[in-house]
Amino acid sequence: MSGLSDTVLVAAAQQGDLEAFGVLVKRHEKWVYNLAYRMLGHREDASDLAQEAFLKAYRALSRFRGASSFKTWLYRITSNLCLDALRRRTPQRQAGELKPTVADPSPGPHERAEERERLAKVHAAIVSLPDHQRLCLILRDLQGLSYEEIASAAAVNVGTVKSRLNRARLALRDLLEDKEPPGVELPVGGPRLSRIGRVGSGLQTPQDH
Amino acid sequence: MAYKHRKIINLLSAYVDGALPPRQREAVKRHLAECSECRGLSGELQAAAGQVAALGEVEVPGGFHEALMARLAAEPSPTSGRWVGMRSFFGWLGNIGKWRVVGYGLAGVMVLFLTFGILEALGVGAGPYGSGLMGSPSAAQKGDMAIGAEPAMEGPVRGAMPPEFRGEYAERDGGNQGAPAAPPSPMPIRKEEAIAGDKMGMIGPGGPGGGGMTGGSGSFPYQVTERRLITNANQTLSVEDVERSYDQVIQLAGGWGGFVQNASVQSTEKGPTWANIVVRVPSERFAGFLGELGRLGESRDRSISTSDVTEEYVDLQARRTNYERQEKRLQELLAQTKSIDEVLRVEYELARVREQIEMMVGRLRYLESFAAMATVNVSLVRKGEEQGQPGPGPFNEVWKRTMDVFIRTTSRVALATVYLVGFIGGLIPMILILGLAWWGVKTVRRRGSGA
Repeated sequence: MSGLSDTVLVAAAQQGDLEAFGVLVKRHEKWVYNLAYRMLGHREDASDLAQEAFLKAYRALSRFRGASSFKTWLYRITSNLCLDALRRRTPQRQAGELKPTVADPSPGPHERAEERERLAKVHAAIVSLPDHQRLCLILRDLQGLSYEEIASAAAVNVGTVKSRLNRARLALRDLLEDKEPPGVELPVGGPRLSRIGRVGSGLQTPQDH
Repeated sequence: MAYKHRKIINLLSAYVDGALPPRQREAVKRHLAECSECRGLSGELQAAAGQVAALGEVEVPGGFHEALMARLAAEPSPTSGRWVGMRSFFGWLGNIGKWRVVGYGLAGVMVLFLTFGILEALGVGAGPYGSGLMGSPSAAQKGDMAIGAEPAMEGPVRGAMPPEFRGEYAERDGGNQGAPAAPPSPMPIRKEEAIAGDKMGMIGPGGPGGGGMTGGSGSFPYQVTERRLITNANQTLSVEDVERSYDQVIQLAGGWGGFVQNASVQSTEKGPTWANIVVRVPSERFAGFLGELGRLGESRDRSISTSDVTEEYVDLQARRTNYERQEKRLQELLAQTKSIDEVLRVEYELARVREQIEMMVGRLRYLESFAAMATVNVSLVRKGEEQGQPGPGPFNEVWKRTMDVFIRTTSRVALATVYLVGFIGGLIPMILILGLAWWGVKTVRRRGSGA
């Protein structure tokens, strides 16, 4: 069953085949979870939201008529849920959110500590971006969607996607001052660190709209 | 096409991603060839994108899939007819124009409401056929019960009538008792009382209990201290000088502590020939007044009628007390209620109860005032004018009938207005529900528009 296309599996799931939907979940859960994680910046929140997204998709499955691909549809559901969740967050929570996520535990034990630190800083910088900019950036640069796919997932037009993505990258560049090549150790206590520290404390960047 | 530096910067991300249309791409390319700043920036943007990409994917936490599948298994199957049915229904609606259907539906409901409302108000539900049409016999019986034990002489038809009609009727009856020529026409049997009784039952334990209390006359907790009698009299006098007697009647009324409610004089070229005076005197002095009145002229026609409204009066008082207790309870409830929805419901109920109380208070006042003051209808006729001329009797009859019809029509028009207002008020929740449903459908569609 895992060899079948999304379309076939969706049709089966619409007939009440939960196993078929299980295959769809298996196939898409990773990116759904990753999108939620990078949007919310927190693993537990991401796990809850990803489950919510699949539940929502399952409940709405009978209304899915294949006008777009299942993946695009699921992207849209997940994006909406992420933006809703972020909107509901209190400013206090949002600020407190960032600190635990700075320590990104994903890299394996073989990776060097500074590499881990660098990734944590990129993650923190992304999380500090305005919600809509962050969504475009994650969908494009982490998940590799086309501009059109992003537009449909975020329910905006392609022009908006272009400008949001551009602003997100410009802001990220300022946050990371990425003139130095990746992998080089960051000077401890330097201006860069203080800058990231500011991000970590939840302050907004000057590029915000 | 010459793009400004600022505008080029906005396009750089899309440029490095190869997402620009050809003309813009060429413009950016030309600009980059001559602007080192933008060249540097485009490199930095690519690097930023690279940094994000370098984050890579994190693994889904263990147990995620299993937990999710367990939750999904608990969900109703997506095929469950509900949605499929809804979809095909809406699909069908879509074919013939959704809004037109909604409009027709609403119009239909409105016409129905209006038709029934007007029929009800005009008393189509009144006659011997109508009562079965508009209100079931059991409803009428319930209404009877709620009102309380009626004196047997008033008959079952009267028992089912709302108090506002009964009062008027009682008077009319009184006036007609001496003149059997005009038997009482059937009055509408209405079901308001039955409805009120039902609603009382809905409110809570106090409702039905109250009904039982007022229904069973044997267990009245209220003491009947005095009888409430409504007295009516008709007196026709033959007099020498209508104008002089007219003044005398008015003087007499004042002397007995009463007042003139209504008076009219009819004249020909030979002077006044006929007069009609409606006098109200205190009930306890009624007999004395009537005796004095008989001495003013030659008594031609006299009738006295009395109707006992004690039962109704006591019953009304009991129901009023009951409603007031209910009102108090509702007010206490209101103080504890938190959700807006519940507050609105309690307040609606409160308003209804208050309205009932007000109605009863009004009726009680009416009964009190009519029990306190007897009504005497005095007709004065000039001697010798009784024959040939349009006699006072027939004229009186016509006038009475006209007034009767007028009063009935007015009260029905008023009722129709009340129904209309009630109908419009009743539509408000419906409009709210429709609006909510519309909003819900829109939201769902917007959310799921990927489908």
